[in-house]
Amino acid sequence: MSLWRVSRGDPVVHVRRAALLVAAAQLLTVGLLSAQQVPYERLERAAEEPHNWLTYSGTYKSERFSRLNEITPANVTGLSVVWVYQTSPGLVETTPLVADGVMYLTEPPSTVTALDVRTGRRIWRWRASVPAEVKHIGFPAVNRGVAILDETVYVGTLDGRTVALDAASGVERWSAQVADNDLGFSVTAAPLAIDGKVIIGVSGAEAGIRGFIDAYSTEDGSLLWRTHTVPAAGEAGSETWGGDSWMTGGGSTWLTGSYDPELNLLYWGIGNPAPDWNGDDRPGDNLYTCSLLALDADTGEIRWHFQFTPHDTHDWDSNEIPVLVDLEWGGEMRKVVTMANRNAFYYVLDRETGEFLHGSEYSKQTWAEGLDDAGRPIVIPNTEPTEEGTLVWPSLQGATNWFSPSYSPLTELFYVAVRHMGAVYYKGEAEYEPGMPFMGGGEQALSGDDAGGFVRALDVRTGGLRWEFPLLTPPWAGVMATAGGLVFGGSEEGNFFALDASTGKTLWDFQAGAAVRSNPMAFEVDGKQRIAMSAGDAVFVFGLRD
Amino acid sequence: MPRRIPLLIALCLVASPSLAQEPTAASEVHADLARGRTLYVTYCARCHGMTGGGGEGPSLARRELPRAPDDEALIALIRDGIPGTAMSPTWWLGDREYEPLTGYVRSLAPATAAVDDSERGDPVRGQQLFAGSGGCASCHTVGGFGTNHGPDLTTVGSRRGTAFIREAILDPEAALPRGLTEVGRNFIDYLVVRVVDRDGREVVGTRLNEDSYTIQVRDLLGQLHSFYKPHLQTLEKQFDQSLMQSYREQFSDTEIDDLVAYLTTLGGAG
Repeated sequence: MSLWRVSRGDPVVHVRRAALLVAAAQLLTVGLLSAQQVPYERLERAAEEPHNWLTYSGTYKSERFSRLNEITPANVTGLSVVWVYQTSPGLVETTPLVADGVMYLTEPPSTVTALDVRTGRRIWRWRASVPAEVKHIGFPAVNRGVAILDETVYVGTLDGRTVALDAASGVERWSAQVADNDLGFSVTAAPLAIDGKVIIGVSGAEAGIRGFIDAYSTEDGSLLWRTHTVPAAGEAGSETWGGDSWMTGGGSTWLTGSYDPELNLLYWGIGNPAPDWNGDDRPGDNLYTCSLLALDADTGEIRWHFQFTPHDTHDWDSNEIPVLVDLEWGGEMRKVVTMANRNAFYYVLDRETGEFLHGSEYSKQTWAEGLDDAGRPIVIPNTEPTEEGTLVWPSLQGATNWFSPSYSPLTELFYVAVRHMGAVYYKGEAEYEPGMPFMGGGEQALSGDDAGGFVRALDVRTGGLRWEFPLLTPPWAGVMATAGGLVFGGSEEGNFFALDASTGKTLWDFQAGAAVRSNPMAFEVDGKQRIAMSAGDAVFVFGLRD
Repeated sequence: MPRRIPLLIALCLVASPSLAQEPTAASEVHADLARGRTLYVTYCARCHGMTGGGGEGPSLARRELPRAPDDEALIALIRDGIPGTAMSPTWWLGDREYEPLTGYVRSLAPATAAVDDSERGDPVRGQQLFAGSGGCASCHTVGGFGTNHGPDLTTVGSRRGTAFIREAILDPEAALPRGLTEVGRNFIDYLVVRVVDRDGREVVGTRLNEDSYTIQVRDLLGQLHSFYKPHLQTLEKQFDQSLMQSYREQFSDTEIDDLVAYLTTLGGAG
């Protein structure tokens, strides 16, 4: 089986040939698993093969919408567990990928595992040698998943690397150091693989990093471009930072963005400025923190930006998933990008130009009177953190957070899990020391019976509330709509559930015994639709019994 | 330079004897204590009382803190919180905060044996009231004896300040405990709920646990009920109610003092 081992720098053609030979051998001898050949063209048209789940959010548009329709409101009560995979202990926030009979998921802290989708039995596992003293300042030791392209699976690691693994064997092909973990950099997001490139975002704003988005060559891991999310002195946008504050200005890129191949633009959400709750030393709007960037995928050049929360002092990162939608708008088809932002507003932007088309409140907020004609918030005075504490909605975790929303082109509804929660924000000192917390305050959130959650369905054009389903506690789990007319989700108290996508009526639920901290995804095996979600340290796969 | 929080010098405190020995160092210590007090008032006073005498949380005005024998343990406790209790983590603070804060918490310890209003009462008479005319054991457990309609009080003296214990006896609905039962952190314990199921059957009791789909209730007779929320006609949470009666009318002031004194001894307080 030496063909499985491919060393760094080998021509890609050899890799392909090797994988094909192995796949052919497998097909002849075992007949279970087919080759893991996922060329870029398949990723571009991922919506056409709903039996697989080929990118973090399902497609480049990040709809997190499954076009499978076997499971419907009429039969969803028959859903039961098909298999469970027990992960290594920790916080499991992975969205598995499924390609041609194999499921690829990540386990804490940065382990990649390949499973037989039919049984959940492990095929291989690769463990990143993450040092015990690895820094993850301001976030837990998580990993949210992998990207796949051709025969290779890509993953980020908690200690700040991007690693390419052979999809058939889990053998490491190359490893690139993205940034220095000693300064607080980590990679927790699933990479985004596009034609010949793997796009990587970083975490670390709570340690005062200066954020960026990177593109690496899929062939050898060389850096193709890097775009900083905080401009250096003299660059466009640097006038929005006081003094040298840009050098430690934050702007992490810690969730997976979206991609429009026609426009060749990447859409990536940018995190909070640093320090989080004390903005005294960074006067100005602090571009491009709390913004959405549209980047030329070939060069990384910023084509346009839209800032949701200028001069944020509440830690309302804008890393939430940008969902690309093609809509009839004012009588003509328009390419838009939508986002339910952590700041409690829902936005619709033109994704060619960045023009603000619509914005409206989708969850309780007490910091802005509304948005002006350009989409800029009209901030209510005295809502900044103070030494004595200031009560503001939403809490620092926002009206939503890292977990994914979903868009159904069938209902034209945007589904989002909402954290209904306020917090008392405190302002504190902040002195930058490399690789140390740089936050300048904190919060005490309203919790217990004083907080709650919802799954909400918004009209994709107007953001108007179509329906809501209440949750006991603010959720940390995403949602997925399906062509069968369902929305799947999970609760902090361990409920998996399915709602009617049109009405929000609950149709099925299952108590998994531990908090759901993941996004649902769907695939098909042997012609049967499957739903995967994780809770606690386990990935559950559900299906209808024959 | 980052803006520093102004020190509340006006609140600067009574120095402990050791602080008076070296004037130069002492002024720094005073500044640290003032800084510590600012942090204490911001983060701790709501539960532990403005002067550390306790409240919803235990008194910190003691010479030994049972969970924090040394400063390192105290910093770890403040940083990480105490799972299963209302003691939240303060992960965003750093050594610049923890050191003055722990210093201030230590300064709350009385130079002599603890004195607080629990000493007004007689714990022996309080125990008799608890077991006798108070009828407390019909709802509470102490040392394995009693029932479970209300919180187990075996260690209540180490978990609550005397003011909170007194309030719970006089105005139970104003001192509802939080975060001790299975519902989760900061949820109200023994929350009174009224449930009407789809057949019109009504149950009043206390919440044992709840998720987004179900609620577990113990009724007034001790019977356990499990309800599926989508099938309920009514789920009413009575946030301003307690199943416990006030003892304001039943006991004299002296008897209340005795009961408070008894409960304060439970769990090795002081």
